[in-house]
Amino acid sequence: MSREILLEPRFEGERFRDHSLPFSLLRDLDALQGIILEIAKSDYKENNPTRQRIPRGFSDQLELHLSTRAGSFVAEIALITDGSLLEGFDPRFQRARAACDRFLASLAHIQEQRQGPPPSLPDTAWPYVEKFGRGLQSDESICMASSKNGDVRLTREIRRQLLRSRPGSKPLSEDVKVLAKVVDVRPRDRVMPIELRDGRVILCAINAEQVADLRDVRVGDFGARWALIRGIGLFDSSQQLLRVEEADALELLDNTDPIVQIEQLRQLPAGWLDGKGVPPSALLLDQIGAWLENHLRGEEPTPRLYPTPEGGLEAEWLIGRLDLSIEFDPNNNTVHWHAMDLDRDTVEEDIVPLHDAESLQALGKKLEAELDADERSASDGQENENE
Amino acid sequence: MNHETPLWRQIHPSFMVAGQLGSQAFRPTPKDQDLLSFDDGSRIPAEASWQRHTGARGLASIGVLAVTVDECAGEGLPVMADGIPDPEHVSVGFSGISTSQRKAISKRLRDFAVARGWQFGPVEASA
Repeated sequence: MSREILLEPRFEGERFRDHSLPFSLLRDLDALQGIILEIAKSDYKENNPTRQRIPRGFSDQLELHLSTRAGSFVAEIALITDGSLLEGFDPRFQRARAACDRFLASLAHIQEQRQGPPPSLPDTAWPYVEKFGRGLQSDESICMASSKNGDVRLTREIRRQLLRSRPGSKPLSEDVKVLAKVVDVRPRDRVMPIELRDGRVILCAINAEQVADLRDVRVGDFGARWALIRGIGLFDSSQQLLRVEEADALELLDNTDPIVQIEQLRQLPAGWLDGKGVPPSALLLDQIGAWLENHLRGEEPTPRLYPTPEGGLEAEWLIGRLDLSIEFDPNNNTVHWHAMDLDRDTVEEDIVPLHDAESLQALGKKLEAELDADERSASDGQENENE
Repeated sequence: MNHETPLWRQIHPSFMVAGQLGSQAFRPTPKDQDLLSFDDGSRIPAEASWQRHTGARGLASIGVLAVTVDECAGEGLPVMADGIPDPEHVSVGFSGISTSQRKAISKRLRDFAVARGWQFGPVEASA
């Protein structure tokens, strides 16, 4: 038996630094096998017009392996042959290698912004191309070495451009995480109309389990209840979400959830406070949302988020007997921690720079410690009550 | 106005989130020039105070909460019946108080007011 490596796609980005691959991205690798197979089939038919199908067993001989290397995640796509021919002379390997090269040539064409349309791919390969790299985030890429094209890197943007080059105009699919209001649920059609931030209502496909979960939403709450949906979205050429095709995860959120509060603050108009309040910027809200998501466990107590008149935001909690407020002030570029102990009548303060990641991380850890202490104290109290 | 006189404070809808009142409702904003506005509860009913604020003046308020003259004095805040812009208007001074102290005082005033309950409202938020 002989095993020849065709491609070693290397996943690059923060998520892969600990040498692991999120399970959801396995679908992307599966799609890469499909691309190679479909291009090889198409090439074979072009070169053998009298033959209807590719020699039996070719697809079984494609093998996918996963391994890790420093700072990234590497997969291996290899072809297993019986080894009866000299290495490199097996026509099956040559066909597979040519298929890889044809796909990489298309990517390289876009990566290097060459003139004209990229080398064409067979129609049957496009459904797989659509799935390959769909799970990549904006700061991630899949790097593939090619003897003819050097290092070819698939990013979200290159994937978009490649898909836009296909014949006909079809919506683009991408992984999506969307916070929206539930407008209605149609169990028979397995769809849920949702209202996006811009007020547009689109459809989200849901499965039977999700239909069951949504029974908790009362009719009176339609149009007011928020849901966080992760799945596959269809986008038009201007990157506008048209439909959620598949909801992998659907989470109903309370109005006290910080993500929902942040979303509501995005709607705050200029002059919100007696004609003079400045609404917090989208950038600041994104920053605070990410910080809270990093340091909160999603359990009670949750903070309430209030806008400040000068375009900032103040988060307030009662954590046990601690009256805590954290003010994010974009004008002074500070974050002000103000913790008032209601039993001792003392105040503990901390002021850190708004854009200093290390200080913000330390402040987040301090918050986690307070929440942990409160949880421990609550569970101790519960134990004493039970005794 | 005596020590027990309630002072009406209009509550802006943005400072009431999911049933909890933010301490900013009892802290002067930069436009307030260190003075927090109230109406003298011994001279005007809470509802009339709200009507004037939202109706004649066209400002947003979901209702009226109150602290007493004594509670302000206990925080070292002067209470001044200045009669401007309305005859019943009262200003509570925060001049010379540090940011940290302002935060602590506003938290305590908020707790006094919340414990006392709504004097008028709450009504549906309107701009």
